[in-house]
Amino acid sequence: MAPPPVTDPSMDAEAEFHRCLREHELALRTLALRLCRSSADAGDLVQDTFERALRRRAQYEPGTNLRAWLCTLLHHLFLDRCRARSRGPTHAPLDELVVPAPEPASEPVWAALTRDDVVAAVGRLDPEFRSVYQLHTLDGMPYTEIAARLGIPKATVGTRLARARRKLRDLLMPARAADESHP
Amino acid sequence: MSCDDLDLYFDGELPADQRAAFEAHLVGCPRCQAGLHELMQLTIASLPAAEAAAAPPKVVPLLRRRALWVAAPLLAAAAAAVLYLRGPGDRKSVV
Repeated sequence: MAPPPVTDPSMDAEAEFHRCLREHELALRTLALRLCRSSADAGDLVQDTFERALRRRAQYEPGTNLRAWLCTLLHHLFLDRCRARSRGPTHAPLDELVVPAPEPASEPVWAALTRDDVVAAVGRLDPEFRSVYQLHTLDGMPYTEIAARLGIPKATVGTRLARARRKLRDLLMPARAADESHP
Repeated sequence: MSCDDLDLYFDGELPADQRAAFEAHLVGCPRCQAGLHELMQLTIASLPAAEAAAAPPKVVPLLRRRALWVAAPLLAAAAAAVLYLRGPGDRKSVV
């Protein structure tokens, strides 16, 4: 009788980590596109995020919000790019130009949040704020299209979006909201 | 540019020149960096989860990605040169 195949637990864990990364690829790409405004640059940013995630896998705490951790990595990488761009063209090697971002550590509040928490909070928004937030965040509509769809001025779209976000932050991070109201 | 422009920047509502100006402000403003992180986290937490795919993400190192951009036009030019050097005599008539 043939012995059972020998499997390396570390390989299984790595394959599982790859699979988990894949689950968030589309969301990361959507976010990167918002920041970069270019499909090619957004693709590069997501690839760099995955590379960094694989290199720093040991820093990820299993059981916490992987998407939030990846988002923090992407945030740091994006700021690195902005820093490099703001310095302008130079003859120094690229490696010397990019100042490494601080070690990424997702804020505990984000690491603990689930999508159900967010969906529930969005559901508690007043309808006029919820519709603007959903049209912008989920459907990716610009202010002008939302304004035309809802028959409101473009400036009102921005105002409602900002208020929706503020309300969501208050709902999702009540402790911080309390701190801000009682300095 | 000022911290007040963060939402417009993140929402893609600033024209290109103002985006660049805001990014120059962003790199020196810890408050905007934290605000951007928060906007990113809120947004990505709102997006639906994609179906888990069987294949792992294809991670292509940056240098190789850049090499593809350089190599593709060179290969196309080389193919065109070969066709040109072979001349019309080598081509079979399709009529």
